[in-house]
Amino acid sequence: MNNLINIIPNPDPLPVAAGWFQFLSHFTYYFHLISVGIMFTIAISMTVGYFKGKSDDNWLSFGKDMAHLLPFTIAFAINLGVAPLLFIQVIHGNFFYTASTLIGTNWILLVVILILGYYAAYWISFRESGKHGTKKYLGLFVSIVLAWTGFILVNVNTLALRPSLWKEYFAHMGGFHLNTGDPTMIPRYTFYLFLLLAIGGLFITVYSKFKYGKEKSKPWIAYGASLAGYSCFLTLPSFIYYMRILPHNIREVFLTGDAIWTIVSVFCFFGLIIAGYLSLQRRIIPASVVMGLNMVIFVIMRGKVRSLFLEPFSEKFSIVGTNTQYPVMALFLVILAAGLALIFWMLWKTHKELKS
Amino acid sequence: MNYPVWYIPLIGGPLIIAFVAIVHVVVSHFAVGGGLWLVLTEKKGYRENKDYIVDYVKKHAKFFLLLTMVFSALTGVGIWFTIALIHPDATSHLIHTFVFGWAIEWVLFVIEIVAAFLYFYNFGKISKKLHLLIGWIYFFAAWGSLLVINAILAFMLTPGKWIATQNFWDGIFNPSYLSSTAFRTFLCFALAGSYGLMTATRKFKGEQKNELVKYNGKWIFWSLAGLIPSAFWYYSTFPKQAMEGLAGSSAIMVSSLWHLIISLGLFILFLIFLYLWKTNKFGFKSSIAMFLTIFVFFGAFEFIREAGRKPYIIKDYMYSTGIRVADFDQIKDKSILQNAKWTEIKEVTPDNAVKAGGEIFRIQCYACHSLGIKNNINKKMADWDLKKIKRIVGSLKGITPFMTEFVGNEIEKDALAKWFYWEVHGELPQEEVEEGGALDGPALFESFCSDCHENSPDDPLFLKTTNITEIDGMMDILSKLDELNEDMPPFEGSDKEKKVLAEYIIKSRSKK
Repeated sequence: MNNLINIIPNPDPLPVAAGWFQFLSHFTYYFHLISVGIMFTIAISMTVGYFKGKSDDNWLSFGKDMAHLLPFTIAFAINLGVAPLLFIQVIHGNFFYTASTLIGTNWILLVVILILGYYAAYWISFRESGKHGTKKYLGLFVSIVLAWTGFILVNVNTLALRPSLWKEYFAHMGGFHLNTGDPTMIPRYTFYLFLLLAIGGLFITVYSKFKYGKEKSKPWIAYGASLAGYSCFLTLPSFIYYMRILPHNIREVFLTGDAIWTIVSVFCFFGLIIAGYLSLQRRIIPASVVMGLNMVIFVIMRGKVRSLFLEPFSEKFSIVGTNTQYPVMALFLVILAAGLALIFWMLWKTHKELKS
Repeated sequence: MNYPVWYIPLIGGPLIIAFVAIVHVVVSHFAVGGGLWLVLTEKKGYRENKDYIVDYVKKHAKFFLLLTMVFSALTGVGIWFTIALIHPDATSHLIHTFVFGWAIEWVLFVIEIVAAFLYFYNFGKISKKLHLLIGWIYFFAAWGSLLVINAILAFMLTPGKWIATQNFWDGIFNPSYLSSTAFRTFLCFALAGSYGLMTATRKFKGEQKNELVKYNGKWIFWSLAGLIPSAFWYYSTFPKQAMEGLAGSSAIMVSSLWHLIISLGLFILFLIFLYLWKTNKFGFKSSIAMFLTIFVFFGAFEFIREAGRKPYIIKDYMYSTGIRVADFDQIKDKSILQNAKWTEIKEVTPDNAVKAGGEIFRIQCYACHSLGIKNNINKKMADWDLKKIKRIVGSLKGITPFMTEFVGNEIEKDALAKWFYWEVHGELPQEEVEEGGALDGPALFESFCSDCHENSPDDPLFLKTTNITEIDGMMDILSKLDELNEDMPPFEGSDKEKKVLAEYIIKSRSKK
């Protein structure tokens, strides 16, 4: 353990108490996760729409609608990912930077791949006409890019929790490493993929309901609800396997070791079952509410897993320095509130004019 | 020293940072200036009741959206990732010190995204008033994000009072903040005009094209009228050492300054000849050529700014190697391999010296030097013997103020020198052969003195020793070089070499 402690970089002091950053990180991550779920599912649905659209005009038109939405969702998913990434770098930057260095080349290439995927999404979105063949294969490309992005992010996030795997650096200083040797990586990734599809499936049901009207929306509500329902159930094997593969001391906390966290993990597990069941019943609003609450639990649980992984290295956690910045944080919160108000005002005003 | 780094020596970290940073800044500054350009040009279209101008703005807005939302946003993330991989210590420090600055910038970016989408997708669908208002909101959010990011960039060059107070606001309102903000703002506007020329010449022909070329030329003209004085203002807030670098003490800064002057000159020539004089001949190719000149200008400026703070990554606070100035004296003569966290070898032995030298290169040199395209120091060492390499390693600060002193003990210095020699020659020298080599005055001068001194009567070496006529006196001077000038390394040759060199200096001086 001493050897591991020695290689962990020394942290920089925090400008305000760590709890604030934990909160901000969780809060912004929640919205990031929702936006990513919507983006990923739209990309997949668009691709499916174009593939099926060859013989079915309804699917083609649905694919086109998804294609129009995709660039917005990519923009927001990326942007909403910046804030949690920033806050996590403040709390655990010394763990995060080290992990990203180990996968450095893959980490940088992610930006290049995302630019290509994003432009492909715009290309599909702006082309009203054009061959469906190109669009469906480009859609597939965008979906793969987005899935790959998630894969790399899960790599870096799991590696950041495992200083015991960092010695790999000396064999991969060029950053070609991936954390595939970590048994928690794959179940965590597959859990995410299905969770994202569940979130996005519910979004499609809500979107279709407002966009297409009562009758026309039926097949798409059915599609979104089924996608959400089955995806909820498909997260469960990954969830169980992930729990099983967690180090003994961490698993114990969630399975009877600590009453509160046991309740949290049970809620998370059954929350997914309930959300899946309600989705398949096409009870969209209750399913969305359960899913929304479940996501809160999931984000908190994710934070707890991280802190349990890093607990043995707590002497390397950032602590508050002598120069605190509470007034600057207050200024940020004021600007955040004003910014959100301004955004809602712009949206409201535009919506009002478009309606009139 | 605290962190591992992404090690790709054949390309080198600085080149990757420079590449990502330059392509990012050229587009991200356009994202700011272009915001103002959109609203003012749209207003012009309405005011003059010219539909083709409004149509031009709409087409330009699509180009703007595709360039800023995708390329600018993602290369912005890219530069964040890249600096964290090459300079993790500095990145961590900047993130922790200015986290709420970054967070505010993030809020502004969210506003930018929403406003840009609303602006582009609702062209002609909502009232002109609201459309323009959304355009203004976009511009002020984008300019606001420039105000925040530029504060942190300026801080890295001139941290000012922050060094003593560590106060957030002292870091933000640092000595070069206002001047650099003015400079970058006008640069944003100049870029907006340059991009405007590209879309105008691409989409229009004849009189309409000429009118739009004139319009964008006016944009650029007024931008330059602000840019050039603000560049001098910005220069006046540079640290003294950066000014000296531009005056000649830094080869990279001088070469970048020439690039900057020539590209600006060409840019102005394009403006005069093609816009003021032969507007009708100004086509898409001319606009691309003009854009390329401002691209080079921007790149050269960024190189000057980056090089100007060397050997620091954050001036007076942290060296490019990630070592804090406050820690430097404590560790400078101690084992770097012991102090660094990310080394496999902790102690140099005769068997591992070359490999240990490689680790020391990664920790101390790689932040600025590569083994490939850019700033490859090995090329310089092709004719150097091991002793000279070691001597140079030991006197880096004396050779140029843009480098920090070597950190580590004598054995590690030797290991680094051996590694350099090995990299260049693929083997280590036979020491016996060197010791028995013939002693020759010019060769010794070349080996020991020529990196800092010229064999010329104006050189301080000759000017300051005119009263020393005896060999013993000159040998005495050579024996205490580091006492006479702290930037000079001690003479590390043998007594025989010292004598021959002393004799040569006296003889050379008398000939001059």
